[in-house]
Amino acid sequence: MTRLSIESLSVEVESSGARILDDVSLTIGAGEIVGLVGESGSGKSMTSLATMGILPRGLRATSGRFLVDGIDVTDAANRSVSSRFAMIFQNPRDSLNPLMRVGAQIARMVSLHQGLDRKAAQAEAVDLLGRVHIADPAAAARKYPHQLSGGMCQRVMVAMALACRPSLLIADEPTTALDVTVQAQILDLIVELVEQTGCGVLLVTHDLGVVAETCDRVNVLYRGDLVEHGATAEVFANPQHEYTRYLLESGRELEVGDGAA
Amino acid sequence: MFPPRRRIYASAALALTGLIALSACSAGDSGESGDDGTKKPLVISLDSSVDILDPQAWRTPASMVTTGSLVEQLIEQTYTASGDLVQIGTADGFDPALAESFEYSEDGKVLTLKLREGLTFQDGSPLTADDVVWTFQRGLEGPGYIKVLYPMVGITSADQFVALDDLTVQITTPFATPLLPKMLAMQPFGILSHESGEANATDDDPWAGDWFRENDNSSGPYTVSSYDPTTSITLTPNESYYDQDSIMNSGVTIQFVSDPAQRALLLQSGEIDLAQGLPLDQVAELEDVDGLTVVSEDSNRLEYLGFNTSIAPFDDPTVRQAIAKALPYDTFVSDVLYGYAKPSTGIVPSGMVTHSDEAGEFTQNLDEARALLEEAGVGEFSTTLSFKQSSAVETRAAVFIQSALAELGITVEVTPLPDAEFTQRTNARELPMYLNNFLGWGADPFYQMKSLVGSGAGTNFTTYANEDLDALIQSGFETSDEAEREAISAEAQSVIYDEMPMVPIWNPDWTFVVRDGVSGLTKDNTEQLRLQYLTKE
Amino acid sequence: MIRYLLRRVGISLITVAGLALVVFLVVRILPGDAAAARLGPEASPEDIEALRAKLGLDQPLIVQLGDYLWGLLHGDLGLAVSTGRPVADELFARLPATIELAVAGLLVALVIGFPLGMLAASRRGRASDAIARVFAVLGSSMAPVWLGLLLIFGLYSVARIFPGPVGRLPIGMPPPEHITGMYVLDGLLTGNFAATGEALRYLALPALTLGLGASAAVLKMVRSAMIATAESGFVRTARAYGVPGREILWRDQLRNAMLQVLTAIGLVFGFLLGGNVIVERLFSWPGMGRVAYDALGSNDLELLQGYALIIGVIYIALNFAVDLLYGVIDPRIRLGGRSS
Repeated sequence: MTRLSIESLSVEVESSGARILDDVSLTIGAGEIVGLVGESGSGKSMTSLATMGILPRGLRATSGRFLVDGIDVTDAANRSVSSRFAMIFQNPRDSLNPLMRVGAQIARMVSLHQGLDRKAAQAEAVDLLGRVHIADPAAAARKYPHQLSGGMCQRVMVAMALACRPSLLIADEPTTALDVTVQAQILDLIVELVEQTGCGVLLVTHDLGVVAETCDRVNVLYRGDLVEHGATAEVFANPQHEYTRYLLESGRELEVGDGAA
Repeated sequence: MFPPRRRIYASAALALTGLIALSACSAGDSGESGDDGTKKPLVISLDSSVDILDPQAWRTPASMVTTGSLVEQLIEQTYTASGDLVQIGTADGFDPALAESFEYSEDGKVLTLKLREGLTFQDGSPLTADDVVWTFQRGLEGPGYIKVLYPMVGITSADQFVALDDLTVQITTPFATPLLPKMLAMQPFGILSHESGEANATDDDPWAGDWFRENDNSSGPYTVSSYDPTTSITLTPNESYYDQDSIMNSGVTIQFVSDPAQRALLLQSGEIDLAQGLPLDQVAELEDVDGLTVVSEDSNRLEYLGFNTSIAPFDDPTVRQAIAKALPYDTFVSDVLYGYAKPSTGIVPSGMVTHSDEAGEFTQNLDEARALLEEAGVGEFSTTLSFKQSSAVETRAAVFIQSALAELGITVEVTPLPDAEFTQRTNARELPMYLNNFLGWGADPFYQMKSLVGSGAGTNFTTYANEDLDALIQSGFETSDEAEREAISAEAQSVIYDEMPMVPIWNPDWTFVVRDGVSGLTKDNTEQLRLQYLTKE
Repeated sequence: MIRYLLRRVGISLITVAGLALVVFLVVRILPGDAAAARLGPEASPEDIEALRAKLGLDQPLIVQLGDYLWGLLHGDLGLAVSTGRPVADELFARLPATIELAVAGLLVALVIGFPLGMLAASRRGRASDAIARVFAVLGSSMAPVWLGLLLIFGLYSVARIFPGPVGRLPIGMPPPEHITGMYVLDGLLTGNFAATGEALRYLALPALTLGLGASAAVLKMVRSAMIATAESGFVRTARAYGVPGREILWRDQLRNAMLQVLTAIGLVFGFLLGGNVIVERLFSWPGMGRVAYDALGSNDLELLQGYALIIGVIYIALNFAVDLLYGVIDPRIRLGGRSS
């Protein structure tokens, strides 16, 4: 089953009419990890934000439909809750409320998406922390984000995502800000998740190494246009578009020098 | 996305309503507490606040009014009515107060006063001649500055006061002087309790200055019933006062309102019954307001333009006379004081005894002024005109003076100074030209002249020193013969006019604004109110 | 947390010491002779010199500084030159009035500024935001005197809603029994509700005058803090996960915005305490500001010194309190933690 289908998404800047995304379409199947690559400014983050329904101020989707598990959710008021999306972000610690304990933050999402009462939600939160392989999850639940490492915070985000029992997980540069070793761990976690739950993953990144490691299929974005898509191995071996070729060549070098932020 | 702002505003409005409701429950409860059916209490606001309760050491005029109500003098001026609301102290009539009678010796140098029997202070202790003598000695040697008055009547030693017996006091002066009874009638010469003084004296403070600053054991018509130096002082009639019938109200509260414009507002709304020190343009407007009456009497207070006669070109009397001829005297009265003043009539104002019209006129005549300046051989020059920046009146006048002198080619830089700095620099005799005012107590011409132009006098900021003039004025002090005094005074006024160490420019009126129904304002020779006579219908 | 607090205490104390020194020096630079001003124009030069000697004004600066610091340690702020009373008495007697007014002004500023700031943030770029910001500019540029006169004229003279500028209570009403010196509080504590009510009525206009001006600052700070948090990562997370807007506002935005606003509130309060002088004079409010104003006119060095010192210490204490609150609210400070 197709977890997510984006049809002809176009996004522009409200005031100037400049095009951020132009007629982008992609699909993600159950249990699939699909990559969305491009350099900064290509519009890849906007794609994920548009999908979640949280475009920043000043930007507007002029066209596009979203179908989740076959159901059109384009006009749905609260896409996340109603459509079982979840998202994890590039800077995990910044994505968590510094004044709330992480267990409480996860429990909040549990309550919201699973309708459990407070105590049950808290227990579920500890459970989820265990599922993302955090040692001593009960103790960890009582910690504040600043007391956890970057990797741990990203696990917390994954746990939060799990709380939604998502059909689709959007991971926007999930490992860019992490150490190389931790990167591998998080990617493994995501893969494990996909196997366990059968959800789809849209993995947005500029890092081709990550794509090579995890993605079944890949879409290439260049300045708002989707220029190439296909199975990862094929695209990498036989890039059709010039830009893809350019990325592959420079990407490898980029990857070496790049690494954890 | 964000909550309806209605909710936030609703809660704020609720809180506000709650506060207003709470205050509304209690509003309008504090009424007046008049205990007597016919006598009413008054609330007044003067031009200053009350800070020190020692009648010999106060600083502000409101303190003088207050302390004057906490002590009684030996004698009091006789009053005559001026209109329905005001009583004016006569020049040389005196009535008994604490003293039931007084008598001069033949040569006028010994004054014997007999106290009434049965006088007490507020705490019940008897008031005797001993208290009188102690009080006057304290004035001479103690912490206050009224000691400067004593030499004017030739008192230089404490043993010039003697208690002959419990009820008789004798004061001896080296010369007969009509200034003595005037002084005895002044507020700072009210009688203090020797017992209280002794009980509260310390080694550092033998005259109990600290105690009298904050406390009172009243010999006068009132006692302090409540006093908050930040807000107000309330005086209630003293039950031990010997003449209860002379107290015309059931108490007076002096409210300290720092902003004169707000004082006027409170007067209009009825929260206070009498206001002093209002801006004169507002006083002019209040003339037309129903329910209010403006009281305005001639005053001996003198505003003058002072020179520093040690600094050129003001060391030349011709230059000083030239300037005197250039000033717009009538304009001051009309435009600076809105009519609440009299134009200058000289260093001894026309309302004061022995005033002489012969001395010289104060009118503006620019041609004569220029001629005098040329005669002095002084060309154009620049100078500064200093004054207290808190005085709106002097600020306005300075501008007129500046433009008037510009006609003579004199460039005047107007420099308002903070009050304390002005005081310090005039004391240091630093300022070349300045505006200042002076009220000589006792309405005595020789006191007036000596204070203003006597060599080395504390209030003579001109550094003018003329030994012959000093001797002349002194002879005036020492004469009690009226005709002689007039002659001496006239001559002195002439000399002063010719020398012109300062230019008297106007006499501001004694001005109050009261609500209709208020009367009993007294203007004695210190020109401060006596609270006991204030009446409210 | 303990280390954090100790450090704050240490810094505060050093600041107080520095303040004392600076106050001492600055006040001595002012022109005008306090002894002469106290004794009046009739005084003789000898008397003035005697008073100067008695007050120690003729001693070398170092000696005066030593006496002053020694006295401070004993809580002795000297004697006011103009009235002869101890400076500490003069100022502390009036401190509650100033504090009461400043607190009332702060409350007004918060009640007006907070909701408007949140409104402006939520309606950013739209008409209500612009209106709110115009209000902020007006509020911060209006001279308190002018605003005060306007309020007195409108709400007292014309409409008679609030009482006239006679001070803290109606003429003739005795203050409630002294516990804190703040009439609203003392009235409540002693069951004297009439006094509390009247005190509130008389507080209204001066508090409005002070508060309206300060509300502009509060509005701007709340607005910018709310906008900043609205654009933060964790708010984005909450939105992404469908957390209801109202909950995001209170749990995510406000609590985090408070950290920024708290410092600002401390600053505003400090300003209200010190900027009271003009408003106190206008409303005959018997607070420290009026004393300072009069002290300036009579060049009372001791009083000026004491005033500057007390206001400075209050300000430092306020900042310390804000730091303390930070420690309580922000777990990053309270618990320390790893940086990575």
